[in-house]
Amino acid sequence: MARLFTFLRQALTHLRRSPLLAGAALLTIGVVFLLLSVFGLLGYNLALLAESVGQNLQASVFFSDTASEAEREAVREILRRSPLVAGFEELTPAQAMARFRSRLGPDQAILEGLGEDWLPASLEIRLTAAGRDPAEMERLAQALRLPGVEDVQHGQAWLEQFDRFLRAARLGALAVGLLVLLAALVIVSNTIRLAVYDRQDEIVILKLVGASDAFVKVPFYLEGLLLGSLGSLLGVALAWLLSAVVQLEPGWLLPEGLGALALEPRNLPWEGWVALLCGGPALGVIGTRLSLGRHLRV
Amino acid sequence: MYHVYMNYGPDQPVLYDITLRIGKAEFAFVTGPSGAGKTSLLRLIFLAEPCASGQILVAGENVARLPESRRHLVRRKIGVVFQDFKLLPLRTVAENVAVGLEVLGWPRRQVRRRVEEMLRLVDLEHKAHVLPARLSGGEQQRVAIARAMIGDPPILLADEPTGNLDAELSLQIYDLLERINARGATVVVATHDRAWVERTHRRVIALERGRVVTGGLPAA
Repeated sequence: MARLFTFLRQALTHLRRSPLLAGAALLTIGVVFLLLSVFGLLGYNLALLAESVGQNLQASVFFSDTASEAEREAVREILRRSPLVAGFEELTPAQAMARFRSRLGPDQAILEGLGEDWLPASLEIRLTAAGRDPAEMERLAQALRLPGVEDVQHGQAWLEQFDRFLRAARLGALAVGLLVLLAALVIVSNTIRLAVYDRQDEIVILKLVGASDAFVKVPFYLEGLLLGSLGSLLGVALAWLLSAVVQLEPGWLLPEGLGALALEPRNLPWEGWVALLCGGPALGVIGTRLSLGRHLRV
Repeated sequence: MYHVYMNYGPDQPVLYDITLRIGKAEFAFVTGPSGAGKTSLLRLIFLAEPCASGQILVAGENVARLPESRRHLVRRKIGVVFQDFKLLPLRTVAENVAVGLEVLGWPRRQVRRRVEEMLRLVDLEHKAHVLPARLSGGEQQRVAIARAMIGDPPILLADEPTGNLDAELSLQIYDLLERINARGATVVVATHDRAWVERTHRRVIALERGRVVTGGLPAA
């Protein structure tokens, strides 16, 4: 324990002796972890949004005015048996009109003059998770296009596009995240490399008086660990603050139109923040390892 | 050393077929003109360079083929002093001397006591908290000797220890090396200071162009 304290003292002394180098490394790691945290927040919120869209996914069957009860029952029977269907609700033309009016809110004046039976009778279908598969859903839609059915609508095509966008966004965030992580690794590695060059004479002397490899290397690892930990703490704290501000005032950052998606920005779960915080020390140690492996000949 | 060869590359042979034996608590000079291989010989002994072939026994251990992970254990048995002192400029005299024990993991209180003892031995206890840059060449070399001997190693190697010093300061250093030898340490000094070598009547191992010319084995 006393030895670890000695190593720690040495590492701190070395960092103090090169404040510019240490400061630059700290700042860069901070910025990298701020970016990673922001990517994490965006990814998490997009995933939540996708889940919410998937859960609210619906399909509709519109009956023609001449549809008989037997024809309607045939449709209901198919829905009852389908594993894609979580449930359904039948709307008369009057109920459909009332729901449409309530959705339009203050703009419902545009419906003035239209009769209560202007909209057709319909079935609003809630889908299970399996219903998110566009091919399966299309098969169900085909089966539902029976006599007495005017139209079957489902949002699978739109959902497919949304999924594609999410996948691309995730891949992009992953690529940029890896890139900034790599940059941070290079910076930590270079900082330690410069420290190794700076202390070459000291290393020679330590080896001369019988220092083990570990004795020479541990202070460098501690320096990397300290830089990584403090840098990630800085970046993650800033990201957490940013996230807290956005949650308090979503309108400050989010365009007004996004309100239609009922988007409520959410903070990362604590496991996410802990993972980001642990990334700093790990980055410091890996950066040091890379540098010592290539530049320290003891 | 038995039939030791050393080179700095395929076309740069430095030492040829060196066979010599230095006994426990002996004081020996390694002499020769510049480029004779004095420094290389010492560097072989304190494991700063590998030999091409042959055997090197240090305190009973063959160090010629010692794995990297065990070299520091042998180095702890050898104190080394250089012409250019090799002190850490940003550490005080006491801190420079203490380095030799810090690497061994000694507790701080014991390190402090031992440093005081060593500084007394080299007559520098009043300069304990001074930075090396404020010391004379002779004082800096005494600090280097104190650092080399603080772990009480059985062997002290000195490579041109008076090369940067005037005659009076050189005398102080040689006197100190004699005292260390009198305490039981084997002392090997590489030098081209012939005047001092002749005056002390100690054993002389003479090198020329990488070969031992005289004194390889102790006189019968």
